[in-house]
Amino acid sequence: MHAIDLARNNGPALLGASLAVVAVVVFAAIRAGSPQAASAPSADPNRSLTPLLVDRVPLGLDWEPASYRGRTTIEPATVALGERLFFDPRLSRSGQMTCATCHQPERAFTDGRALGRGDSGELVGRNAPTILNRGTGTHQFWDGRAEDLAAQALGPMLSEVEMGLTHELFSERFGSDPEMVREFREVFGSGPDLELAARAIAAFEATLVTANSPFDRFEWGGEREALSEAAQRGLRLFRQEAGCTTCHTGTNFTDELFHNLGVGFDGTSSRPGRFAVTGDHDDLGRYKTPTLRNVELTAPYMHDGSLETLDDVLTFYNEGGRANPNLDPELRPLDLSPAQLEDLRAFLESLTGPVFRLDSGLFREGARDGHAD
Amino acid sequence: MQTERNRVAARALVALATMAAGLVVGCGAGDAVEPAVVRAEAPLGRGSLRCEVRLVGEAPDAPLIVADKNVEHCGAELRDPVLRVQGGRIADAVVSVDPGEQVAAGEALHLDLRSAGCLLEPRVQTAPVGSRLLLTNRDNITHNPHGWLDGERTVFNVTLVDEGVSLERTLRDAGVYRIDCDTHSWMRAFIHVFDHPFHGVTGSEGEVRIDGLPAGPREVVIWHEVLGSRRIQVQIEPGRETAVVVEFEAIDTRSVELTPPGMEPWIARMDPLELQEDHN
Repeated sequence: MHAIDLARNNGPALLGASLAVVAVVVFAAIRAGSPQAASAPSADPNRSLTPLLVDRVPLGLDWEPASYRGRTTIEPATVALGERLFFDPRLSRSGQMTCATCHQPERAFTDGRALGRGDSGELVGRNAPTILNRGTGTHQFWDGRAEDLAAQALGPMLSEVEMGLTHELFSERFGSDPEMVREFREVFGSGPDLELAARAIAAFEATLVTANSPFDRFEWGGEREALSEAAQRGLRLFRQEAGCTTCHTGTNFTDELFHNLGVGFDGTSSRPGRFAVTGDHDDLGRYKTPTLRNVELTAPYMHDGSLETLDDVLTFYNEGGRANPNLDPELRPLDLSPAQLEDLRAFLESLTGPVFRLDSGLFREGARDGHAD
Repeated sequence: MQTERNRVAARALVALATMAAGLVVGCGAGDAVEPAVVRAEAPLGRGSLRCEVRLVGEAPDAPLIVADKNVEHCGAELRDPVLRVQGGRIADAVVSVDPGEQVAAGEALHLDLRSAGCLLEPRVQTAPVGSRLLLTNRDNITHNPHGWLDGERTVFNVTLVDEGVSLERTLRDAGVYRIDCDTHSWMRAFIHVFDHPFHGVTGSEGEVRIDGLPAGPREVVIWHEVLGSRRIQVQIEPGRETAVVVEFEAIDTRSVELTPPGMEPWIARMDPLELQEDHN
């Protein structure tokens, strides 16, 4: 078994690696211009996913292995363990809550609530963001306090308000489970450990992507019929008059940076946001730009879930955000007409695409063992 | 409309000469040039082409760009380098010669494309297929280079969030890559990618030389971002340099309508009347 640290691997050697044994059974679409047939199942279940990440990302994600960050190790056995842990309620103090409680597959891995609800029923301070397409993220959490997915995964588990787990509780529960002991040993060479569990969960999360939306088929695939005329007009607005691409850039529609929109400003003070991490007063009230992929499915919106619908969000931006001393200078009233706002919403809805597992094809709700659809 | 006007404007292909013979031949407006030396059969061997691209008329001022984003970094106004002319010589014109036979594209290159001062540079490059393109941000603001192939589909779209950030992409297919910045609509560059090695870009002296061409009658394409394209026929002589001068007529660059980034003509537009009604 050999594991590949994606953060350290890139370049022609990987690009040239054979895809013939990569276990991808179903991919509705792959990179633009290379509509290859589905590959045969892998003969080696421990084969690195790296070539797959290069050549099998769904249409519309312009990713290369160098994009993957941090110490996440993408290796099939690690991913499989991570997936099991993601849906395992023993990760919460009560034994009732899993990662999927707040990151539900059917809601594009969000929970539909304004604010998350912890293991004891207490409200979490922020809206649960999607975990899709986070493998290339440069900062995790709304305030970016975690540099990679493994560090992020650890946070909610150890948070008193969220899952309420401790290292001791984890070791007690999983160390007494022979199956888990065996799996941890196979993957990491040692017994169950919460830090290792976070790495496995991160590996699983890094395989979860969404793309191949109508927008992707239109822009990357050249399918002129894939977007309605309203969505096409919305695309123009998105890139031109509305200026959305100032922050929602690239193929994941985020600059991974922090901006103050005035969300949460109560007239006198802002929530700390990025300031809590940097201590820089310029970062007061700044939060990370979220992806817009599958945004139709991730209501309510903003870091505090204070905007219920996409229309609310568009109206908020059309009015130039909420004035406050640290408002982002690029934010200003847009004066878009109701028809234009509808077009923008049509465009945003065109970003809804299927969820893929980079290791096994389409993610199928309920297929918790990760088999291809 | 722009293409049609350029077709008319780029009227004169003036002179072609075989340098060894010191011969210069003029021709009428819009006509293909007769080769200086015509042979019944293409000779064996290889020769060179030297192509000079000139502007007829007064060089226009560079169009003014009024920045609508990141003004603190980009400045409120920039000059758009759509047409660089010095002493009547046009830079950034792509010259390519159809080899008339299947040839290897040549060794892949490593190209650089930088954002600097909220402009992309170099403005125009050529490369063989398979070349790698290193995109680098030299500004301390976010740029979003977005590559379109032949105006038909997106081939890359990357976010470079800060100064010094680079990402590399492969130019896999032959064609014209137009690179915009989705964040700053005025930023633009072109890379022409070929499946043969006979291409180049005119520098500030308005000239490019292409070596190793198979001898015989060859079609040359001269392309400029706003002046349009010309096709001419030349005769390549073995062991000799064939020189051509191509002239484009000056245009008012202020009237040039560039396709905004990612806004290809085939993407639906808002009907102006409908828009007006909605405002009421």
